Amino acid sequence: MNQILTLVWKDLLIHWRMAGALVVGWPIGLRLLMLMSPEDSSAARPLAGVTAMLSVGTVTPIGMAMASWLVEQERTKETFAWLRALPLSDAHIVLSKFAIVLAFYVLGGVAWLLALGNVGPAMSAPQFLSAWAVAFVLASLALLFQFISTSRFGTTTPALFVFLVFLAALPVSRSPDAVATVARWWGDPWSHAWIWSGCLATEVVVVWISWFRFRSQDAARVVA
Amino acid sequence: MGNGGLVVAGLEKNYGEFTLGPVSFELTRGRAMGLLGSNGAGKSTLLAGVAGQLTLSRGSVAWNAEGIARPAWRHREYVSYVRDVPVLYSELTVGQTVAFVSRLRPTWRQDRANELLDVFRLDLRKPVNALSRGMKAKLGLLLAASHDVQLLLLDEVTAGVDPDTRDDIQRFLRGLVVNHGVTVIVSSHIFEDVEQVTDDVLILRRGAPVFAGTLTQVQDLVTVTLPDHVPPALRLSPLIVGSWAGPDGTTLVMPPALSAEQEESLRAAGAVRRPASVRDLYFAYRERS
Repeated sequence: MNQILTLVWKDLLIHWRMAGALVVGWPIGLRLLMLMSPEDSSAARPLAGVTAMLSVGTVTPIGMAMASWLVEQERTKETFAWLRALPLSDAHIVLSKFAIVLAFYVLGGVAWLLALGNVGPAMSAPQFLSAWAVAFVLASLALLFQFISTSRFGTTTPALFVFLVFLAALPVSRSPDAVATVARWWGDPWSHAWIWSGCLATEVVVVWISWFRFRSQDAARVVA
Repeated sequence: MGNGGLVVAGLEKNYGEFTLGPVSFELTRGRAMGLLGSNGAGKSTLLAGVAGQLTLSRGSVAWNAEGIARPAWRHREYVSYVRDVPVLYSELTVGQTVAFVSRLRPTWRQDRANELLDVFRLDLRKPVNALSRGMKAKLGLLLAASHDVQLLLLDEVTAGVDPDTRDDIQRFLRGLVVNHGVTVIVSSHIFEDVEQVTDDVLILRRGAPVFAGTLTQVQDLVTVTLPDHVPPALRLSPLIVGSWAGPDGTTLVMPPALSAEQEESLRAAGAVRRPASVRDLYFAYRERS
């Protein structure tokens, strides 16, 4: 556990500026936007809700890019090779990367709650947790692709994956019946238990595959 | 091996177009070994294999009879491996880097780290990306040696550093071996490093070991330079370790004891005789291979 915490602490030292800007700046910006809206305006609530939804949509790819960067930087700067010369197992290294992403999302969630004073406009607590869990799993998938591929596919594949999901959602959004079903399902607290369970199961599989792939890779291909 | 130490048995790493090994050697505790070879000979691969950085194709590496291959990460608590230019986190300061490694090393010696910070004139507040190559090499050594290290693996750490820094590093390494009983393997292209620091020598050629012996064995040999040609009495002598042609003539590396006929032919040929060095042995094996 000490090894994972030390690695997370190291990543926080390295990335605190960028992560801090996103984790703190985004909810504060949203809060300012809501404060600037006139309190009695009927347009203020929908504006805040749309902004919150857009924020989630924006932060998800940014979070995925940051997660990719966590691994890509270690690989290109060959610092993974140095870590592997220290008393650390491959599991420590892989778990620390997921832990730092989790830490960023927890900090982001806390900053969101502090900035808005609640889970946000047009969202219940289970919905907030589900949106948060799905965003975290997507960032974890970005990490997975970095661990399983050393080429540019490692960076582009998660983006392509998200794009395909959105593309697949388009026909659903055009069907009033499907939209009604999704809205009803989204409003049912029990369906969120399924989302959380699915996210947890996906996370376990993603971490395991990442570890399995990472341990099969040599630290560096060195012939000199 | 009575007092424990490093045992490399049939180590092989196959990259397809390049294969290292099989390499086998033993290094007792408190001894240093110099690893020599041209670029691409497999020195870094061998060190990375011993350090547990690679998945070996065949063979094993053991320290005190316990495997130190990749999965056995706990054994790296007493093994340190430093690459030519230590790969460190450029965003961190020297102090943050030292703190990071100290948290991962259970036997961290802050007193030794403080001493080395002083000896190597390293500033804790300085960012790693502002350090010169020589200072990075020193920081890499500090991180590798400031714990109860038993086996220290160094891959060309003195390459590209100034003579003052190299002298600091050589004296520090010899001190670790002599005063603290640390076992050291130094890969280098600089013969002086091997002569100043190590007790044993291993020469690699195209992935295969061609010489393994002690520095004393090397120094017991003699080098004979013949200005014109090699006398027939010596040409096919099995005593000759190797030879190469240089601007001063043909140089032979051989044991000091020669037959009376061979001694006579050397005198007649106007040979210049001197004790052999690591450099002589290295070039002798280059021509042989």
